[in-house]
Amino acid sequence: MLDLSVSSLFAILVSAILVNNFVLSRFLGICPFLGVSKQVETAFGMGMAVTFVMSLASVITYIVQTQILERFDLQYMQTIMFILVIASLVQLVEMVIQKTSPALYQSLGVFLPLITTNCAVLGLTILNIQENYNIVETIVHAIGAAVGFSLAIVLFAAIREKLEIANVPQPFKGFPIALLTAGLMSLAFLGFSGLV
Amino acid sequence: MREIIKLGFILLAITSVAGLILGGVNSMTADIIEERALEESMEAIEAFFPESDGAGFVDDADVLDYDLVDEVYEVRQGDNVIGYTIKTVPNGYDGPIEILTGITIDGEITGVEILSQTETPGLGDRITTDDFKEQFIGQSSDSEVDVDVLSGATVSSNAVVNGVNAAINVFEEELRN
Amino acid sequence: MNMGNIVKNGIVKENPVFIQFLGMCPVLAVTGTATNGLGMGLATTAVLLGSNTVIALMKSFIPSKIRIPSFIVVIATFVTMIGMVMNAYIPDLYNALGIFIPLIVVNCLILGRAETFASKNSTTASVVDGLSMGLGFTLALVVLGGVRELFGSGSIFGVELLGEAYPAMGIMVQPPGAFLALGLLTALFNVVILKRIK
Repeated sequence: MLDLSVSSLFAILVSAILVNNFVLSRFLGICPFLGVSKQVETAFGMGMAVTFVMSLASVITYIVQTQILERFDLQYMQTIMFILVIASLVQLVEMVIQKTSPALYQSLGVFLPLITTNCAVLGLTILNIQENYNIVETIVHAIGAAVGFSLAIVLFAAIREKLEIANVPQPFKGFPIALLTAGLMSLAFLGFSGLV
Repeated sequence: MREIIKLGFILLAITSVAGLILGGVNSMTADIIEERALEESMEAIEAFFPESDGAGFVDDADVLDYDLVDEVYEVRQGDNVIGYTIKTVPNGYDGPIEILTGITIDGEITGVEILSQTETPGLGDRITTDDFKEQFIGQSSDSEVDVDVLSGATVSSNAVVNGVNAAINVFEEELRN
Repeated sequence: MNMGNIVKNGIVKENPVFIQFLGMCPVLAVTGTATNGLGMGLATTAVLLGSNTVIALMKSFIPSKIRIPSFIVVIATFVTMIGMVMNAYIPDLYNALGIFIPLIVVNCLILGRAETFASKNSTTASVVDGLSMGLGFTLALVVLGGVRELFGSGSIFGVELLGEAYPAMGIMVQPPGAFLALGLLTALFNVVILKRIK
């Protein structure tokens, strides 16, 4: 029995993008958020790569969970199975893109290996199961999470480009000022709480 | 090709060993986890119904199919059912909250207990304070509960209210007679 | 390699949080209280110790082509084991840390140590490295959790310190406070500790 009411799907989407933004409120995917966000262009590439892997991984782990783990009472293998699914998926995507679209590989290729250890992807797949989402809700949640991640990382990169030319006190140079900036963004996103 | 198969086998072997080890640890800890959860529920039930002398699961698919409802216990004194304790799991600000609600057979709430929650420390986690939980005591199951939400923790408070209302709902529609 | 150096590296010179900025997700997510920070730190230390030991022991049997997936399986096994044990014996902490327990698997610190240290060094050195990196991580989490809890709720480890009159800065225990507190602490670490080492 699939619950397909549009309003509940919309709530999941908005919640994942704004209210419970994966990066700024749930703290998932912080490593790439801080690491690959010095330029808007690379941030955008990372966002796209993550979107791709998140959508695929969500569907596959959903099938693994319902058809294998739950059927054979192996829920305790969840973490191992999911991370293996994600790791092999990333490898596969990398090979396929390399063969079919060298241009896309040029722009996304460098980010793909980093995605295996991006906790936003594993976190998303576990949350899907925890929240008892059906397959449609899972896909919507994945899209929301990916858009939310991309939004945060692109906005953050745009601010950091400006910070490059700002005069920052010595001890704050580099990571500390990036963290404070992220804090202010997170504060702004806090304004969305209660929206859904 | 042969190399790929060999590598696959090694990885499979490592994963199988991992699976065996985890299966072992799981069978050792699963009972403890279940027992502890049951123990917590039993303690709450005793607090809700001091005069009770026993409780058991209600294993009725119709009842457990209700929204948010996770477990239902029938509370007994001698041979009489004196009330129910219903476990509901609404979503709070940051993840699920496990709530037990005690309701007498006459439809009076005797207590609300938070079994587990991951709300924001200092804000949302105030739903576990006695001041908040005691507001529910004595309210009737005829209508939805009415309590003061905690300032700065509206989402968490409303989640608890939703959980208690879900318990009342299943009590009124299925259990009250 | 000198054991003393390994310890010093793990806790101060290459502190996983303040210097290497590894494993930031749990660092920011679970440090609303000092207790949660300590719990997460110790859980991560246990996994790191286990994975470093097993990987150092197995390093000659694992073909280098499948080394990363093999490491991940070993790490995931320890994570799941720790999760089960925590759920059985300290359920409150297990629930408070929630999804961040399975996510220890993708803590880059652990895979990083497996790849750069345990797969290249002796078992004893790997054990010491796992312990000291874990302790450095735990220390950072406890400091961050303590600071956030003190300003945000007026207490440390749940013990009321600042009294009723203190107007708690709720923002410190909410998500933005994590970024702000870590940013300020890192700047402080840059000023004080690094100067002293040099």
